[in-house]
Amino acid sequence: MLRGLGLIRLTVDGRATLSACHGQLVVANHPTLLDVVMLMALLPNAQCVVKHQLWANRFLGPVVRAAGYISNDLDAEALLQACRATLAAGNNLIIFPEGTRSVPGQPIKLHRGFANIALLAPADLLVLRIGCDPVTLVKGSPWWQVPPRRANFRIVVSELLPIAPFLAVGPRAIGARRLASHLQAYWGRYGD
Amino acid sequence: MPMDVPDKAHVLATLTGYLIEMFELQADAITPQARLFDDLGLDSIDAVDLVVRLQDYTGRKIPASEFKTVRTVGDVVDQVHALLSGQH
Repeated sequence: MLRGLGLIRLTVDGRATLSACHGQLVVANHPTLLDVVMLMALLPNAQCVVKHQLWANRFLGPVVRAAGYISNDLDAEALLQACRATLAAGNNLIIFPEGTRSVPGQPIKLHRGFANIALLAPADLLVLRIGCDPVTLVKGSPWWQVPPRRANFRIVVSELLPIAPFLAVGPRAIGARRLASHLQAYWGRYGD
Repeated sequence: MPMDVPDKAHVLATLTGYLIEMFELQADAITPQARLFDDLGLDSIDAVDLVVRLQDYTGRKIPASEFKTVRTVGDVVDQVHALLSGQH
């Protein structure tokens, strides 16, 4: 709809990869409010781990509940089971490891929940990079503040990152740290 | 047996060893004042791993409720030392 209205332009690198996904764990950086919406449109059977605060959100609460999304405040075991089950059922599971939208210009900081899920599932990760220029709907700017020119969104399917090398480092806590810093460095290279 | 209860310095040394080995932390970052989550970057799953490890060390069950109040490395040392001295 937003695209139809000419408010945004979306370029996708690797659209076919996305539409062929089945039971795939997908991780992406999280610059804007629209990331989820766009990924939902591009990924079949998409499931999402969302921050539990959204459950209580007056507008989004009913939406995330009805969609059967997974809340991140389940206890660790329940969350892992929910993620495993949804992947096994052939759904594609999207996690934004930043946990919340990044603040433009600030170095991104990843939570390691996604890494623990990937290691314990275990699941390879399809890594996406989302860019938006000029920035719109970012953290810290009101949603009604329309950008000066049309926003160009770009979603790049970067790589299918195998989990095996991170499992091989030994203790899960260490593997999770390696995985998080790998992606932090990757997304950091494209940060503004 | 109270005879071979390690003192706090010993507990701290043991805990420091665990933190380095389990989470690849730098030794000089691990001080009694260091906060586990904010300063050392542990997350809740790491904390569970650490509790399991400390249970092996103390030979006692550590209830999650008791570990909830723990903030710093020093807090962990106090808890573990109290457990070993049979104060819990």
